[in-house]
Amino acid sequence: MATAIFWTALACIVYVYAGYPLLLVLWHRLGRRTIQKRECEPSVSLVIAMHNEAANVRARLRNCMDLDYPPDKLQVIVSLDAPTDETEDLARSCAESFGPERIQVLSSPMRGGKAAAINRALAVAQGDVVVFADARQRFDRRAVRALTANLADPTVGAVSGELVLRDSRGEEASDGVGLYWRYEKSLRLMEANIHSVPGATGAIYAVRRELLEPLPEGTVLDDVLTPMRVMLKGKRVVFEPQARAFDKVNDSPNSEYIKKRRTLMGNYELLTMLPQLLLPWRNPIFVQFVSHKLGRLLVPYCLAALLISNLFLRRGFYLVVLAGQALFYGLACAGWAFPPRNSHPEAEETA
Amino acid sequence: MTHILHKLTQFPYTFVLMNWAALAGLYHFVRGHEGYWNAPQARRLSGTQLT
Repeated sequence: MATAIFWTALACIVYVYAGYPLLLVLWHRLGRRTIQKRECEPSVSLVIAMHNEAANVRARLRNCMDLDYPPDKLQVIVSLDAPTDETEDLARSCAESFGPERIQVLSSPMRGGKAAAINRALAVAQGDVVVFADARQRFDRRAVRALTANLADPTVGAVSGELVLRDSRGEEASDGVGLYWRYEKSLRLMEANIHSVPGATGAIYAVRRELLEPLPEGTVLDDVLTPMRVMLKGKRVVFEPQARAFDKVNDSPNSEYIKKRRTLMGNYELLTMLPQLLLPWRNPIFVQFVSHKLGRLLVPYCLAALLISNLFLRRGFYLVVLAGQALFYGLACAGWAFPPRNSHPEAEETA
Repeated sequence: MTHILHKLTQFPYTFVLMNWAALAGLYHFVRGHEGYWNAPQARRLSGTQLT
């Protein structure tokens, strides 16, 4: 019994982190589907939902105004969720200086959450394409063009851009969280070239307006729910590395933990909202969804099963694995007990 | 030396923490919503910090 549990758990862990990426490499080489990209200029509504973003709102809106896209085809919608700081005043002052025809500010006296703020914006969006963005990140000047070029392909319904995490030197982060993010992006690129990515980057993604539906109240991961709805309607969700949004890398694993916890909680929520994702005959990216999204949810249980079953198997090879696990968890405890000096606990609650 | 120790410990620590996040995510999902964009009612339910 313990042997069966040990090997099943180990196989699951190895598949999620190494087997699935290898499968993607092979699949990508054998069954790559091209995207008929072409530069085009559809009308675009850029939606930014905000709560308390006084520190970011000016720079964010200036960044939107600096985008390389015809101003008469770019509608920027700032949907405010009852901010309690100066966000609304600053947003309105920006809208006045840049022109109310370019920036539309929607306010709500009652907190309703991000999903409600997005729904209000969608009700007034007029563009053929809706681009979603967050307040903190900045777009590359050509980001919107890079997104819309993919939508020239009629089989594509949504496009995820690339979030570039920069370190304190302004270079793309390459260790810790940055390294993990690079691994994640390489998976997404291969998944997009096979069919679709199982989720977009919340900081930058675009969807054909005709495919959008209002979000259910309290939705945690709009950037996964919306692309998955698009995919279930028969369209592809692709990844465009040239459509870049920039953010600062979070050096503290604890800050990343809070974001990760919310993301993984959103994955559970997604299963209740779109249970058809679990049906192979309804979900064209069933293998990718199960391997990428559900696999990550299963790994902690497999890790626990591996350790517990290993305690009953303490001979030969199993003893070596048990020693390896003890060392690994010992180092993890040391990492917890002695955090890096540049870790900023105050940033942990701002994720 | 400190740098090497940091490198050695941070990967296992981050890996365990990220997997713990999956368990915590399930807990929060079962218990109620959490996150920086929740309405005040959801905030009371989860008791988590909003930003």
